[in-house]
Amino acid sequence: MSEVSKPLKVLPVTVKNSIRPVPPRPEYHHGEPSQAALQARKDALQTARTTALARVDGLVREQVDLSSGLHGDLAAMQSDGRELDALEAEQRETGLLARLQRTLNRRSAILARRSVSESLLGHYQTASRRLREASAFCDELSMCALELQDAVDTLHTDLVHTARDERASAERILSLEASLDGLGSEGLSPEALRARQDRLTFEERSESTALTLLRSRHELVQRELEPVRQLRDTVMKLHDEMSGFVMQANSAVDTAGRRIQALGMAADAPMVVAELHASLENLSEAMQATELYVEAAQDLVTRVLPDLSARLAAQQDVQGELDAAALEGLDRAQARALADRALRDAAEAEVDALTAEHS
Amino acid sequence: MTLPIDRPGPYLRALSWGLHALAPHEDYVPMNAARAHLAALDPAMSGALLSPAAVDEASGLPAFSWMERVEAEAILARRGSADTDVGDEALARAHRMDPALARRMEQRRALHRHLRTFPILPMSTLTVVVRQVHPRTVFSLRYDRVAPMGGWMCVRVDLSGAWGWTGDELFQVHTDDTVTAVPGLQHLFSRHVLTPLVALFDQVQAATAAEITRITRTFVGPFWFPGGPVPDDAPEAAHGALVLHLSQALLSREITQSHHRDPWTPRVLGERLPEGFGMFRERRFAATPARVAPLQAWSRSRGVDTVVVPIRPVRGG
Repeated sequence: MSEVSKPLKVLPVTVKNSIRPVPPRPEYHHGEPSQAALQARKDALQTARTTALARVDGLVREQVDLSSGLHGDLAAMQSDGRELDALEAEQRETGLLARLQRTLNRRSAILARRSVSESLLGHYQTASRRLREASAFCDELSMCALELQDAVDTLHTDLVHTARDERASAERILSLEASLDGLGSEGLSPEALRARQDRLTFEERSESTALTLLRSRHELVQRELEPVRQLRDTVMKLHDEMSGFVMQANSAVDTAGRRIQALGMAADAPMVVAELHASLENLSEAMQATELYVEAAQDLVTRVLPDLSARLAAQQDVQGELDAAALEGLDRAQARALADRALRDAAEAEVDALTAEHS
Repeated sequence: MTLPIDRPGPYLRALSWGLHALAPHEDYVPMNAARAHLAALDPAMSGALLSPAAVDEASGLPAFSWMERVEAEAILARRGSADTDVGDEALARAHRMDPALARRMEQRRALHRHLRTFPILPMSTLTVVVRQVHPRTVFSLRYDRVAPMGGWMCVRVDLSGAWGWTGDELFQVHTDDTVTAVPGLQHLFSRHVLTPLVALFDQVQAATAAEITRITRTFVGPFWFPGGPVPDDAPEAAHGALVLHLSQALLSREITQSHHRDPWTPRVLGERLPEGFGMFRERRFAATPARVAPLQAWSRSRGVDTVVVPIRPVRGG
């Protein structure tokens, strides 16, 4: 392998009495950090959050209504089924009197069975309609979960850009600090020195304010992540449970529906009623699932969502106080500390990201 | 039976073309509504939203459960409007995030728009109109039903009374001349879906205490199609072909001599008709073009010269 010749290292030329240029302001991804921009972001997040909370709250309530209604429909179908069973049991009774009564009441028994069958058909139609509604609702939940995931992705992107801006800002502060420290060696006249010191101090204070605002934005977005994630997970949970339940109920109701259709043309009614009985009993599982489900959804309405909402409102208040305190003004030591902390945090975030990537 | 995934579209279109070819008259279930119902079921419009595509084992028509899903969607569609339908922007967003979900949403929107535009087959409806006022008042009852056992049925009864008769307690005539029947009447019809026509005549007469001048019951179906249920005693020409039945039984004072023009159902021997009434029974077929002549020949061999029309594709469905 041939030795590759190393390129010549170009050394910087140090010129005595040269003035270091003032480091230029970074091009921030979200524009120049300002209190107004931060407030606008805060307002946007708050609006998005309030809308999302209201939407999830509405979805949960709709789900409770749908599930409770479906529970009632399935119960009505079972009740009709039991009535049919009772009618068939009468037909199976042995004994002379029972046989005599059966002969006399044959026609009314047939009509009674048809009446119950019609009622069963009506309840089947109601349950089926509710299931269609539930199935459209599952898609609505899917869409909501996707949009919340999209919001989570947007927050992550915001964090990445803000972290990049923070790093650039911190590096500028440290660069300004270095310029301030090296002022004595620049060979300037006393007036020029004072003017330069003023300029660098002004730039450093402006930059440290920018960094403070960027860090506030970072914290703001960071804090927003968890509740949005929670909302997304809530909706996903609702979707998973609802679609599983709808599938189960659909299958039970469909099976019952096929038996109900057979009732209309039953040459062997007792057998059809027995099969129907079995399929209606299968509805019990779906009904039990609904009960648990409604309970969980009601807990969401009465406890989980109001808690989340209250927590977010409290955070909002604290955030407002912090922002005001942070912007009161920073001296050089504080600015340097702020920049150091920002760079340390950025380094830690990078390590975290790498660890997460390789774990 | 459940149709394989690639079959519902061709099956539904063939049935719709069959209906179009037979052009059932107003004593049958409404044809345009029936064809709109079938178009809604077609995966070309609704994708898999209304699946599974179940066919009734006895009639070969779409099973009640499959048909009923359209009515359920129609109710949901009527609750909304074009304004509440999912918008293009939301659809585009959904397409970016989950194309399968977006397709479902798009299909649901198309289905709901269709169902808001066209009427569909009523699953069980009783309507009443005043057909004549003078010299006698005639109320015409019409009971349309997608029967649970698969056939699409329509019963029509003309009840006659003296001039000015308001139907006693059976109907309510509103100021805009619309008429509604008491709920018990619909219940009566629903319980007698399968009762033979003469017995149904007796039941309705007993329940209404009115004079019946005409009663008719029509059926769309069965529908025989390749791979579907075809009875063993079906004519040879019907096997492996499309054959849609349209049948009618009419009991009326206007029929002076009974006719039986149904090659598929045997004559009812010893049937006792009400005094002064005649019975007319007929069955018509729509079939694969190549089977029209053989079916006519089979029909003639059973002593009936029945109508058999070819099923041909209809432009636009």
